[in-house]
Amino acid sequence: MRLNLSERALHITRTALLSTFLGLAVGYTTFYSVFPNVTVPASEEPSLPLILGVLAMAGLLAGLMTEDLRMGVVQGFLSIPVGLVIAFAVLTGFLEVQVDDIFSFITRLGLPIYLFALPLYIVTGIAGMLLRERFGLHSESFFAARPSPQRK
Amino acid sequence: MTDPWHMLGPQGKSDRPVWLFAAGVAFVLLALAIGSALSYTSIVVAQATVSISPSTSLTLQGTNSDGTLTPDGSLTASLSLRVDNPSSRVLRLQLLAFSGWIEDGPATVGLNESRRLLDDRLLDGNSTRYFYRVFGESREVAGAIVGAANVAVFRFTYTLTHALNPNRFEVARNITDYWASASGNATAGPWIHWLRVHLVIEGVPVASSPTAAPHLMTIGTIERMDGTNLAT
Repeated sequence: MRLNLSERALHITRTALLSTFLGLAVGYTTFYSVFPNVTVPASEEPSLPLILGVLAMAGLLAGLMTEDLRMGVVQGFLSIPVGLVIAFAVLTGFLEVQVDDIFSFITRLGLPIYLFALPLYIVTGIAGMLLRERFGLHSESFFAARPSPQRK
Repeated sequence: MTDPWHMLGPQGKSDRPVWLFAAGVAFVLLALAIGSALSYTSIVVAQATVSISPSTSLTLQGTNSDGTLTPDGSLTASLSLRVDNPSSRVLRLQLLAFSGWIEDGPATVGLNESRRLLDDRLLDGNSTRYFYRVFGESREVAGAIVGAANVAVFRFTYTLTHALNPNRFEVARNITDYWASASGNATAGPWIHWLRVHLVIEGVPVASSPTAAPHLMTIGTIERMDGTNLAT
């Protein structure tokens, strides 16, 4: 029983970490798509290849570290609110600004990124999991979750 | 027969290098996000805190003994523009629009009814005051930089002569003559100025595409105005 609880906690931690990682990519690309000339690196207008590249790389890496498809999908969904919070934090910066305006910027102008990121994360996540299977990667140490019977 | 999909067999290998690589990517993304937040913050601070304080003075050159303008004289407005930039961004003065009006004494007291129709008006309580626009121009400024956390003072002069604009100069002469006779000083007429300053925040690329979102074109600029714009 104790072991099961511990494994479950590890599983949740792992999912939370990967969701945060995916959310970081969503948050950064959302900010970049809204204010490309302010972002580091700055450009005149948002570059679709850069947005695609960041999201796809994050999705693929998360897939390589995900042990079952169910959690991969959950991570994809969780990454959206996490990304929203990160983009909000980046936009508010260290200022006391009109929060309503910024919230509108992130939700309205960032909507295409959220809609785009979710399927992309699922597709690239599956690709990552397939690669994980192909190279026989397995988790160890404190990130090792319970064996995943779903994959067999 | 082994499954060709499992290249390394059932034992496989640890995914720790992938975690380390992902941690590196996460660190880079975090650094970029923090850098972006700092950049955005500095721009918003610049937009909120930059201030201008202009001062103008009017001088007449080529005057008669009573101080009135001769036909060969000139009217010069000197503008001293102080830009206070407490932010960490470097600014560049790009555009300056300046207008200067002098109260049209002859029109106000009814000596010149026709000019009343052309003058700009200022409602002062229940009365109307008439002002004639002596100067009105905008110019692009090159090489005017305001350093980060710095103050810069720029000086501009606007000159009106008969050669430059005969009609406007003659009206200005008429008005300054009026003030010279009414108050003993040709430049004693109330003077109103208005200016608009367009500053560019250095390091913020401006979207050049006509279809770019409006906020991409305005976030890198600061606009400040001062004075009363009487233009209708």
